[in-house]
Amino acid sequence: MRRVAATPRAGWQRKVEEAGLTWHTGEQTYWNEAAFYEFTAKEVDVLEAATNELETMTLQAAQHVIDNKLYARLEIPEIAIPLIESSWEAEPPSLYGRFDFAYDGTNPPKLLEYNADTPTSLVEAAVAQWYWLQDCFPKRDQFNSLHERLVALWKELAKYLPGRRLSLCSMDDAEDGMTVTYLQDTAQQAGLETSIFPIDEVGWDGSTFVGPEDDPLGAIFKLYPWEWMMREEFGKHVGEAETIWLEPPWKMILSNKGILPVLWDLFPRHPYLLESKFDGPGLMMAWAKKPILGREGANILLHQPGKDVETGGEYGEGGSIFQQMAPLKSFDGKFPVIGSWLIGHEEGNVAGGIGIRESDTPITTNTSQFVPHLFD
Amino acid sequence: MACQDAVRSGGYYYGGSWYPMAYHYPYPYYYDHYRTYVGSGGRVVAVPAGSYARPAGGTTSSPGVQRGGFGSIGAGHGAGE
Repeated sequence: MRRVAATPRAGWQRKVEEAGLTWHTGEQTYWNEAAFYEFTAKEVDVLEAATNELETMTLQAAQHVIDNKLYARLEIPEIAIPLIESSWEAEPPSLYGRFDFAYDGTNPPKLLEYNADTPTSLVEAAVAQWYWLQDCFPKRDQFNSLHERLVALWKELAKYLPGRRLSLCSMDDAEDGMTVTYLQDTAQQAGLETSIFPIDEVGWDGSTFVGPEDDPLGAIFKLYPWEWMMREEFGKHVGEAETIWLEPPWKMILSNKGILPVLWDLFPRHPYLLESKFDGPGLMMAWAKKPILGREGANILLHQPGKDVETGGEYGEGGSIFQQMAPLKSFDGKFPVIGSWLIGHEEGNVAGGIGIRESDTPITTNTSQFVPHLFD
Repeated sequence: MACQDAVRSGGYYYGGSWYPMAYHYPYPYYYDHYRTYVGSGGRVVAVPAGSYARPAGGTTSSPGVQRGGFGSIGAGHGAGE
């Protein structure tokens, strides 16, 4: 694994926009093709195997949380428990997730966290970096079958979606809108009839959820976290309606930082895990304190002997978990995190590709840059 | 107050029209910039914050359909990660 400096394509902004990455520049450039990461096939095999194995482990962890009713430990509200348990039993469709790994190409990947409910950076991983590869290195390969897997999965899920119809909703936000628009495209390619609208246009008619035209919502993909939905006005109606939600409510368990210490308890010293605890750092010398319901690298405290670094944010209230400091390796002064995507639920075959975000510091935040990759 | 309303509502109302906006930071970020601007001698014409708020009844719906029951916590920033 190495980081290689590169010359950006002329007119790269237009090229990535045409690939669907309409939000590529914020306060700084988000899409960065002035470099790329190069892997060996063996390293890609390692990432793929880790993703498939961790998916199995996280499902066992979810079962453990349900069996032992660890909901309070994960700060999951009472109102969510019957939704989680009924959706776990019914096994409704789930679509995707993203493991974030610390990886240096030598040691096993270490799970930093699991974005199981509302992962983004999908368009850049699935499409934009693929077209970058075709333009710049057409004879080389990329760990990326995300688009094909998504279309295939929608075809498989179609029979569960009433009328083969799917609605998609998100906040009125550039990055989120880009993600749901791309997912809408993959669903349409699978033959589904789709519609898309902001989440605040979801209506409640007293017995069911409805769309902007007051049409009943049979199945809806929401890019909006369950922990927020459960605390909002319509949260109490989710259990009353027949609407199928993607991701399903049981993903609340896996998108919670509390799943990390649960995993460590179930699989102590597993090579893909970092030591994690609920109640304090214990004997860890260097650790990260993460809010149980934190998001996007906010309110994280990194502790090393004699040195603390903390990020700001809105998620500082509530409980936290303590996770052993990840051994993030610097590449040319940048700290990459591998986002490894899971598509679908076929045991041992969920790993669909990777996207890499790199930062100037060991904490990946919403200002990190996406850098494409390839392998031989 | 106007910053807070705008971020919470995802836009502002001005001159008879609603202008939807995607705000990527909590409202204090914008308010701090406002204070910095004013503190360095910038001039503003202040009107009541409520004049920027979305007018009531902006969404059309059948009788008995409620809306806006999801999205309040995420207002002003994205929900993906």
